[in-house]
Amino acid sequence: MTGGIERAPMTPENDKIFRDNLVAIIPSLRAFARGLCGNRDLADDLAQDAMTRAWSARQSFEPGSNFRAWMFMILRNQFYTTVRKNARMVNVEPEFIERALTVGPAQQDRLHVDDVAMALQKLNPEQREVLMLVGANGVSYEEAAQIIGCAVGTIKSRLARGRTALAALLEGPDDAIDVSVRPVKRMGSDVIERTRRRSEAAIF
Amino acid sequence: MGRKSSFENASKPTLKSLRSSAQHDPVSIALKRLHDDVTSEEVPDDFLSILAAIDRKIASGEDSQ
Repeated sequence: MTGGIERAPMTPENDKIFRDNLVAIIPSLRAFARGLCGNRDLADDLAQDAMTRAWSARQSFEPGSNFRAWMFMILRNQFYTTVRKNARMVNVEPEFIERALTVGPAQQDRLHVDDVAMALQKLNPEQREVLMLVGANGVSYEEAAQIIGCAVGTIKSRLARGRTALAALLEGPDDAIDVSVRPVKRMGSDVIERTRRRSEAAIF
Repeated sequence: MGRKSSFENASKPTLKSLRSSAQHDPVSIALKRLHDDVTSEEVPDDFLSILAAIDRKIASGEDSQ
């Protein structure tokens, strides 16, 4: 299974290179996580968890391969694991909801970032992750397919459907973001704290 | 002939027209702005703590072979 795959020995020099790669990926990792869960604290916990898991598993990273794709895969897996464990978790920051209720419709040519973040949370995760990877992060179709583990054609169709759905939410006939479609329950601080403790335990 | 040529020219997207349509697509703009907003934030201390722990591991030679 591992035959033929070159592994980097864990020397201090290779560890420093790996560490520098981690530093460089933090902003993009946070942005991807924020788009996936819509909650700043949870997103940062996911990103930190991905970092510690990546460090622990650094020997399995193939030198010369796509570090960003590898990191996004780790974060994505952690996101779905967390979602499964907390089926009713929430994703939307309270201030997004407050804004939607008080400010009213989004302006067509100057969409507010918070409106977009909230609308993203109403899409299914498969569309959301593709919009964040390709639409927001500028990842290629091929790299997105590698991260998600599907065909390039699937990426394109999810992207097209996601864009249409997002546009409909933001610019639709009712021209307003309805936050009452599904119950929203804020993720408890205990869950966030558990995630943080697990993340720290993985490396320290 | 002339009309066909004109039609072909009109339907062929140019780099300028593609760039222009992307710039005016509010969903594309908003997604990029969402990404840019987060990436321009200061990195929280928790991330720096993880990096500091990694630095200590590297300095001590722990885990390295």
